[in-house]
Amino acid sequence: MLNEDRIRLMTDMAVFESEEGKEKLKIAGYFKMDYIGFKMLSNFIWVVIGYCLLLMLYGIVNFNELLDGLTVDKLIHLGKVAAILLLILVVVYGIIIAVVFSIKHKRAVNDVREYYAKLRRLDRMYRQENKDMSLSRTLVDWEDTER
Amino acid sequence: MRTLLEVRERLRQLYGNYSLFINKAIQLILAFAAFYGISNTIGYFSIISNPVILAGMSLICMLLPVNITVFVAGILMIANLYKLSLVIMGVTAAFLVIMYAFYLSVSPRYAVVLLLVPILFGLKIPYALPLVLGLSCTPLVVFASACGVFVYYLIGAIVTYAGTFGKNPDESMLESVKNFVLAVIKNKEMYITIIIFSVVIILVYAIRRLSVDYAWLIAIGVGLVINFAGFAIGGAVMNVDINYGMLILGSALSLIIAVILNFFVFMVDYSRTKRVQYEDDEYYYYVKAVPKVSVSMEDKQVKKFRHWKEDQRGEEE
Repeated sequence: MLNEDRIRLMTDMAVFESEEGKEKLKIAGYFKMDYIGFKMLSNFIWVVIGYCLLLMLYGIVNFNELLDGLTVDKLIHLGKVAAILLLILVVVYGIIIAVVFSIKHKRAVNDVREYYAKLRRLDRMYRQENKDMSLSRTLVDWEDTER
Repeated sequence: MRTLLEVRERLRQLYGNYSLFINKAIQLILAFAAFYGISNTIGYFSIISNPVILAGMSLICMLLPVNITVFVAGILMIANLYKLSLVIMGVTAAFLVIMYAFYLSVSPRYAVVLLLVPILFGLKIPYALPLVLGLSCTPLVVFASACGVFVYYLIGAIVTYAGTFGKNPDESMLESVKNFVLAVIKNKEMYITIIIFSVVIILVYAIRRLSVDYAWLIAIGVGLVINFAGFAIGGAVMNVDINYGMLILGSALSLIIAVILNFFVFMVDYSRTKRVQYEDDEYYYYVKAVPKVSVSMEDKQVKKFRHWKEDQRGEEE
């Protein structure tokens, strides 16, 4: 006999596992701070690469003004300005990344929690089914012995 | 009206039954349109600009996630520019990497919009996009649409400079690169487009999420007006030529698409709105329930009855 409730539950879980669940199960496997830290590190690298490319384009557009009267002091000053801008960019992006991936981690954990609740419900269904089957087998055996 | 609702239910059932094939077909068309558009405008590498090669690439991208198509389109752009000029290729690659570093690496969800914007510009109907995005996405799509507009104008600058780059004897290579970069970043039309698209998307999203009656229709109306007025005023103030024909056509098309989207996604009957109030231990609840407009489909079942005398004859034999 097909148990429709169980089939519906298993289909739901299979769809979750094959689609969004793959990424969410992975995300939920991390502690929140570990996940955010890992994302901040990988995005920090990209932010630095992007910033260097922006500096390169800025240098190309303003190379005449930059080379005009270039001294060591001017170079040090430009370096300090570039470093301060990089620091501000890293801090701003760090906050954005922390917020974005914190929300993503929270949603993943909630969805995975729901998935595990469904898994426990499925387990209870199987236990109940096994209990009913062993009970009916005991009843049949008892009837046979009585006969 | 009932016929339209029945058609809608049939289309929904059809999509429900064949969604995998329909989604893959849309992905294939999108990939081919993007690759063909790139090859048509900056197809300097003749081998990879061959339609057969592009069709093959589109078929492969169809089997992979949509974001891979965006990545492949970027590679195709850079590969084509390799044949034009290494310097332009380098600068274009720098712009694309900057876009990835500051946006796509954090939120790649709406990366497909980077393909859609240049395709719609190519079809001369870009003004249809912000209204549709505002109705169907979250405000985060603003960044994707800005990147898409930037990519379109970047391609435009490449096409403008392709013939003359590095060929002026009075201009050094560095000057040529500087002029090319300035042509991309000092484009007033690009900034007007980005700002107005962003404003329309955010306004339409904010209005359609309100709990007032006819919120979606108000959002569509406001979005259309802001779209049209924004470009007209922005063009006049910044002294930019706006193609009013394209603007009117795009606005008309966006109205049609928005109404169709409203019909399929958010068709409700405000005349049967119910308002209830109740409480539990923690809160008072003020609930407004607006019923959806739907129609139950006829479920025709044909049963054939065999003739009784034919059955008897069969038994006797």
